[in-house]
Amino acid sequence: MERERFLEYYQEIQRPLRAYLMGATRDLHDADDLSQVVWQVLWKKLDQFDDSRSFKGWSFGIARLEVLKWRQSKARSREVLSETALEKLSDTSRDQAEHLSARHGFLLDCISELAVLSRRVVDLKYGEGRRSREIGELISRSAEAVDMLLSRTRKHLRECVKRKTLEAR
Amino acid sequence: MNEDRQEWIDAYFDGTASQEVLQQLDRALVEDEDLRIQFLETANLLAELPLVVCGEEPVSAPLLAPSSVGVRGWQPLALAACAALLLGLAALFSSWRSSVPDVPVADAPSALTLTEGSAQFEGSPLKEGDRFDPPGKLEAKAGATAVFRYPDGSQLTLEDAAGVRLESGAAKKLFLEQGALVVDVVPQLPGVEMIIETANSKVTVLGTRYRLATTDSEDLLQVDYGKVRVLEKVTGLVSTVAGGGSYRVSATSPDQAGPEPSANPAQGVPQFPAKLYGQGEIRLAYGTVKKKYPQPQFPPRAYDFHRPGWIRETFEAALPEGDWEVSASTPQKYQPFHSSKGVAAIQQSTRTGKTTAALKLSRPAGDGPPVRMRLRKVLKWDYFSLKYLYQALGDEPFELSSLCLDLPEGIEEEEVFKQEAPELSPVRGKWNKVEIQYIRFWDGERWRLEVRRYLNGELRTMTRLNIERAPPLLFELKSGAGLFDDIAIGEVFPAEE
Repeated sequence: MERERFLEYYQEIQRPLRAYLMGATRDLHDADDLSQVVWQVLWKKLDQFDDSRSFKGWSFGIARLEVLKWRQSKARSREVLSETALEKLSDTSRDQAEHLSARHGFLLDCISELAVLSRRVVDLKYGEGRRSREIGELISRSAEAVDMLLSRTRKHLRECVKRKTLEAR
Repeated sequence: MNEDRQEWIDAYFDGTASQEVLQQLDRALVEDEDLRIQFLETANLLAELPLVVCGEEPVSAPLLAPSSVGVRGWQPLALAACAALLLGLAALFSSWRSSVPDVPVADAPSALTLTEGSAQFEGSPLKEGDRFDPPGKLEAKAGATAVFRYPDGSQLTLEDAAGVRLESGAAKKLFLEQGALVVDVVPQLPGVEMIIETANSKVTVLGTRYRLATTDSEDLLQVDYGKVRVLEKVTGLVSTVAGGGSYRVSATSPDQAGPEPSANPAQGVPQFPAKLYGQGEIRLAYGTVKKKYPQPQFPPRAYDFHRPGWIRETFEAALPEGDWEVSASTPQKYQPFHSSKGVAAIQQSTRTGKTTAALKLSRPAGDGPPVRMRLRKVLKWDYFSLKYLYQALGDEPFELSSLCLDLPEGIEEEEVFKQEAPELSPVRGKWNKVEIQYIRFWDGERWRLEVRRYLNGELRTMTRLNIERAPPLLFELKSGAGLFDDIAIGEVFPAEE
């Protein structure tokens, strides 16, 4: 496969793939680490890829294997989804890849529509990686109030993205 | 959207889900595709938020005028996600939207409208307001500038007799044949990004405003907002430059020197501009470190009544969070007890969550060690930098006389500096800090990697490798002669101290 095509495929599925890994690991750092591993494996095995197959299917298959390996390392943790659930999620994220990729643009719009305080809290939490207590100190709120605000904001963003997705169809 | 089950999903990602909720969610995910989509949408949101919010000004900020500094070829800068993927930077894209442009949605994404100046397309002159679709050759007049606008608001400026070949397709694909151009690109959706190619390079623009100036000796990239991923063609190094940042790339001339390495730790700043895990923390990445115990440190706890003449010995060490592996070497006649995993095992308390390394064995009375227990902490690799590796096993002393990397075959290491002074030995019984920095530098012929190792803030060794970036490899910290051969290391720690 040519590099340019690989680049195109990468840009096409990197978001849905990352969403799947985030769902499997529940932790953005683990998801990013796994994402690194998956793309390294894909790149190394590129010569073995049969162009007549679906690159998306192949990629998510490899991602699923890496998730299962990761899962085995976390076997003692009670917060890991079952293998069956993870496999099902892999299939669904593969099938919904376009839908998940397209949400990105709508998310940008929805964030722009947030109230000032909500936007500030989102920036502090997800842009600067601050903890709720730190955010609370900056905006004179309790940590619990910050968590509540974040929860409401995420709900608002979910609904906004869903609405814009439907409007765009 | 099922709100009840959204609460399960939220609790899962927050880490507050009870075991019952987790099991319910798990079952439901297996059975219900709609729920899986709902789950993945939430995961997608949480994964995208850190990238999206790492933009610059709010939406209402006015767009800046394009710079008069043109893009002249792109040598040696180009963008190749494949190279980035080798380095595992797959997660570093970012884009955000400015205000929605007021152009007809029905226009093809790659259609252009001349908004200012004069030019010709496929030999035919254009006037302001003319709209056209690729493919074809677009040229600015000599001594003139022509500004074009895409349906999404992105702008393309051709300078003084610049010539661009527009490729067909929905994506904005251009081939710069001669002259210079300036791009002012709003965040792009996948599949319709702007791709600018020259004879030497290729850049994919995701959404940003930046100025790029190129001369014979270097390229200077300055990003106003958004992010740009830069591939240095000569070295293969890929970096991401965020809004407000700049990046300088030297040309491939032997006379062009990179920063000289210095023994001053304060000057040894790694040249990788982005932190993979956000501000405030750097997480360690792949690797293992071993700590070896020469003998159990607790007296026998009980006599093994089931085996007359035998006693039981136990040893336990509290470990910080993380993935640990343990093994032990014992004489064959020693046997494990209370463990199906052998003499040594890692235990995690379900009540407290604490991790303990336990050595529990049964051996003939009167027979003593040696029993060696080896602990390995499984880490992850952060190729940007590794800072502050702490001894993780409490107050136990350790010896440390040198640090080294276990390198794959074919990578040469040249020792430049090594400090052996006794006054720089680790402090027994205290926390000792080990820091490793990776610095890219130009040695007059090529880019190389310098590795600096510090102990408690003092430079101990400095070596140079014949590679350009820190490889993802297994490394060990060895102490040489001493009570312990290896030290265990910590995990998450503040990036700034």
